[in-house]
Amino acid sequence: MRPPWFVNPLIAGYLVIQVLYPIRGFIADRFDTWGRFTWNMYASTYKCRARYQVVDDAGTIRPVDIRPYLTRGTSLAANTYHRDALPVFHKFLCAELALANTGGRLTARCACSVNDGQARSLIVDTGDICRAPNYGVAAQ
Amino acid sequence: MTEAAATDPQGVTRWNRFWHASGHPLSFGIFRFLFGLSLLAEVETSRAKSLFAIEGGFHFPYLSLIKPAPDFFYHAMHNLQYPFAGLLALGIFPRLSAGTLLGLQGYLFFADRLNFRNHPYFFLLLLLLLTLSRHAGTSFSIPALWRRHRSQDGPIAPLTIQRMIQVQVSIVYVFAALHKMTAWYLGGNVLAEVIDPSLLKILHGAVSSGTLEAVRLAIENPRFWIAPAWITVLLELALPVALWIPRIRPAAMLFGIGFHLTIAFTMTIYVFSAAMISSYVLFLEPETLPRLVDRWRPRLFGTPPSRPLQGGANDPAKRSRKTRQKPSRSS
Repeated sequence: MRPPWFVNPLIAGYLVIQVLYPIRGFIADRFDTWGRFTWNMYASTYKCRARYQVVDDAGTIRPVDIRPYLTRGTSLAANTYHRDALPVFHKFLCAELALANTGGRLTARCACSVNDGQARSLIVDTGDICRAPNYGVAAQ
Repeated sequence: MTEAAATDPQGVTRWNRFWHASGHPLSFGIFRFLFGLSLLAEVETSRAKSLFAIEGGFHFPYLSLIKPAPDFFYHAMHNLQYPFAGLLALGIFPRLSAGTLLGLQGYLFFADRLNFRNHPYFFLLLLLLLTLSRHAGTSFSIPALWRRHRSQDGPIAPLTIQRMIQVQVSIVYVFAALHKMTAWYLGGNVLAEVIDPSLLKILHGAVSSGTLEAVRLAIENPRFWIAPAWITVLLELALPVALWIPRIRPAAMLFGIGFHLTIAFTMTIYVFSAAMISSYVLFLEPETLPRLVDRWRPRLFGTPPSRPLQGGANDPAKRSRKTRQKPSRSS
C-alpha cells in the first residue's frame, strides 16, 4: 500500500536534518557551539578558569563569588563560560551587583581550553565589564 | 509483484519496502513500554538538573521573550510528566501521552539553554516520533489486552516510526563515535575525567587499602583508559551497522547491552543507558518476538496460544503463504 504523498518527504526531511545539523559540531568552534545538538557525548573536556572582582574607587579589590548567582555550581559554570552565554551572564551579574549597591568596577578574567589545548581568553581586559561593549566578552 | 513496484524506479521500491513495510508491532509495543518506564525514571533527574530555573539565578533563554516562570509552575510541569509517562508505558492514549510529554519536556528543555543535555534531547526526538505513530499502543498495551478478548485478528502495523527510531539510534551512535575520534579521547584523557571515582566504594573492605590506593591511581591515569576508549569508539562505529544485520545482530545486542551497562555503572548514566538498551528490541525482525511468544507460551502457562499471533510461527496465513510460495521458488 502506498503511503500518503506527504509521508516520504517528511521522512526524508527528518533524516536530512538529523544527519546534517550535527555536522556543524565538527565545523563550528566549540567555544561557540558548546557541542549542543551534535551528539558530542563525553567526547571532549572543556575547562575554564574564571575570576570576578570588584575594584572600588580606593583601589581595594574584593573577589566576587559567582556560584550563588549560578545556583548550581561548577557544572553550570561550564555551561556559562561560552562566548554566547557570557554577555548575558555579565548583564545579569551587573544588574544583581547594582541592586546590592556593591559599587566600584567589575573586572573579570575567563580563559577556557578544549581538550587541555591552549587556553583562550573569552574576556577583553576592559577595566569594567558592566560598561564595556558586549559586556567585555571577546568577539568571535 | 505489485503494480507500484513494477512502475517505480528500483530505488523508490527499496525505499518504500524499507520505510513502509508492515509487521507485528510487538517489538514496538515493548519498546514503548520500556521507554515509558525510562521517562518515569528521568523526571527527577531532569528536575535536579534544571533546579537553577526553580531556584532563580542566571537565566539564558533561547528567545528573550521567554521569562522565568514561578517555582510552582516548573514543579507542576515536572510532576505532570508522571501520569503521562505511565499512560505511555501502558499504551493508553499513547499519542496523546507522548504529545503531552513532548510539550512538557520540550518547554522545560527549550526554556533555557543551560538546560541542554544530550539525553533529554534524544528523549524529545523519540517522543516526537511516538506522537506521530498511530500504532504505538497496538501491541503490549492495556488496550491490546482488552482487544484480545474482542477480536480474533492479530495486529499488523506499518513499521515506519519503528524504522525512524532505529535510524535515529544509529545516527546517535555514528556521531558519538566521530566526535570521539581524536587523539585526546583515544589517549584515555576524557574517560579518566568522567568515570565516577565513587565506584571504588564497592571495593572498600574487599581489598586492602594499599590495593585500593593503587586502583585509584590507576583509574586516574589516562593510560589506563586507552583500551576502553578505543573499544568505545569501535563499538559506537560497529553497533549502528551490526544491529541491522540479522546474522550478527544477537552478538551486537550482547556487546551493546554490555557497553551500556558499563556506561550506566561507571558514569552513573542509568536512564539514557536503559533507553538505548530498550531500543534494541526494535532491531529484531517483527516476527521474532511473536514467534518466541508462540513457542514459550505452552511451556510457561501449560496451554497453547488461544489464537495464533499474526506474523508468528503459528500464523496459518503465514504457513499457507510459505506453502504456496515454495513451488514458484523452485520453478
